[in-house]
Amino acid sequence: MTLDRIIGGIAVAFGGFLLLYGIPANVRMVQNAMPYPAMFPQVAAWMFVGLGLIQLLVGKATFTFPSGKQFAAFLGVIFLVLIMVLLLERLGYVPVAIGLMVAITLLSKERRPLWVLVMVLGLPVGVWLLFEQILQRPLP
Amino acid sequence: MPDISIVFSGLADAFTLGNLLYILLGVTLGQIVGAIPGLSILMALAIAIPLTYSLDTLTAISFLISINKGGTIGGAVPAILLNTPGTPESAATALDGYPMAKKGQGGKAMKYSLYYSVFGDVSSDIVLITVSLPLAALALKMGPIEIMTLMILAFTVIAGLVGSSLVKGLMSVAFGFLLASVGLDPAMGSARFTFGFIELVDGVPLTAIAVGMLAVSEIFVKISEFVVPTEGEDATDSAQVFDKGDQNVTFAELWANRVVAFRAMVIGTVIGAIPGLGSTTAGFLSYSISKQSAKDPEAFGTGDPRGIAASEAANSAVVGANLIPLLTLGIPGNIAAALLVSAFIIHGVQPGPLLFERQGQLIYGLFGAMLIANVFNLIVGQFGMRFWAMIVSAPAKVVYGGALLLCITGMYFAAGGVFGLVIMLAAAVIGYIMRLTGFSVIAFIVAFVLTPQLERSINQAILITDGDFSELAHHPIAIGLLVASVFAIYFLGPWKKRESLIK
Repeated sequence: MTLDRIIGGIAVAFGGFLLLYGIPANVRMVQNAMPYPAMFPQVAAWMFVGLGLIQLLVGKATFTFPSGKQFAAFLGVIFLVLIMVLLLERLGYVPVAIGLMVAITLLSKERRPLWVLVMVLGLPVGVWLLFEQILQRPLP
Repeated sequence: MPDISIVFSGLADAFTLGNLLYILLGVTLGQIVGAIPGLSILMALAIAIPLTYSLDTLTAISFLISINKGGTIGGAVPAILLNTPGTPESAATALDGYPMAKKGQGGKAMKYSLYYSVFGDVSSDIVLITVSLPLAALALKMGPIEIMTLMILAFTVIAGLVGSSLVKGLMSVAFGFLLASVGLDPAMGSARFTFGFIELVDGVPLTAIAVGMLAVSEIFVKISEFVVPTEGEDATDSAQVFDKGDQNVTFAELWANRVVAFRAMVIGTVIGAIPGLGSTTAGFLSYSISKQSAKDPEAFGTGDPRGIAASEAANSAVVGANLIPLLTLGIPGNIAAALLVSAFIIHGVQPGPLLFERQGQLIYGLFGAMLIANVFNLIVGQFGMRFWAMIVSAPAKVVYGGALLLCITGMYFAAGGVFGLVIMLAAAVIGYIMRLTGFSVIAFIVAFVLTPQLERSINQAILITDGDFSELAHHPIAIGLLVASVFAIYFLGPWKKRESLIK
């Protein structure tokens, strides 16, 4: 089975889930009224079911995935940024931004002193100055 | 017919030294803000409005409109150099601008963008100045039924064009429908898919979605490539785009795309004149139509200047045309225009049908200021491009690191703090997966942008017609748009491009 067909199956299941549980549980259901709040979500759900079925039956494409290492690196960068985002209001902008840039500098193997300095200090302090001093927007 | 002395008095007001300086400052600020991914023109406008309290009305409004105009130029710079639209309306520019930059023609792509943008802007302003009242009257005739059919046309054109597979393109549209449903529904005002989060009552923030999917996911991919380089590619060179051949654009090269640019200007002007539709819609719609009508549509997306012309002339044309309903009817065409309304009111001016009659000198002064802003946009753009060229000559690691930091910081303000940032990161992951599996991110975003307007207009149309669609017979514009939709489906549908139904 091609990955396209698997995606088709997932789309059908997702559409069915929306119709049977997702929409009734999260959207006000109204009888005998037009227009009604669930109209567009239901259109979307039926589209998932119908298009997913087509994909499931006749899909034939497959994809080239990145290498495991690259995918892990991608997830690692996201994780790093997520941590930064969650710590932003707790530790303050400048320390967290410097921490993120140190991590990215180490991961990207940048070793030239000038550019290391620009990345680790120049960018966080520059962005802080832009928002705090020029645009007058207080950062955490 | 306006009193000619009022017209000249107004234009003379625009040429005072103070006014000229504020226009220059506004254009420069707009270009800088637009060029920085994660910062938005809306944010710049919102910040700038309180700064205009002490200015006279004309200078204040000119300054704000100049920021708006500068932003449309600036937004194209990172879209071309980094595939990271500085503003959502520049997203379509990245489709051909970035491939051009990757070929070593980043400077050329930016010049195309600047010239076509200024062309769209100037032309739109001229339309605003000369035919604002008749066009506004036409826009006024576009009731919910016409808007609904226009939205249907927009969907049929865009969904059929983007992506390699029609089925996947439509699934992306369905996903756009679903995500755009989050928040209060327009029918009864009840919450949908908010899961108890108060932040979701207003819906999922568009900026977080657009920047996450279009910019941050690309930045993550680039940074992860620095960590684990792709075989045969030197990731550190990916943002160095000025090193190959002639970067100048000749008049003959610009003239070669005159049809595309003119059509884009018309699309941008019409979209801008219709309340509720904005620059992003205009850019994508124009791009899609240009691609579809080209003899060689496969050339679009590979670094074709027509793609840049289609996007930039259209999105810039919206800025001037947006003022048509604002100045003549008092209806803000988009959020930027809504901010301008607040600025007008701060200065004791009520936009509306009586504005031309009561504040004619101010309005024609404003028109003069808009034309001056276009000239400054061109001049500042020329210098700004050199400046951005210097920044982009820095190592890609620094550029992408800086872009990530700016996206995070800008989004912290633009999309409601940490919650908006989490949505931006989620959008980045979803965008990455969609690209990997062949789903159209652009179809999704366009559907996400258009769905609230479509849903609102469908709801209004159902209420107005009481569900009786034979009422459509009394709306010739709507019928024309539906016929155009049928044509679009015919030309884009599987019977026309059977091979692209499933890929």
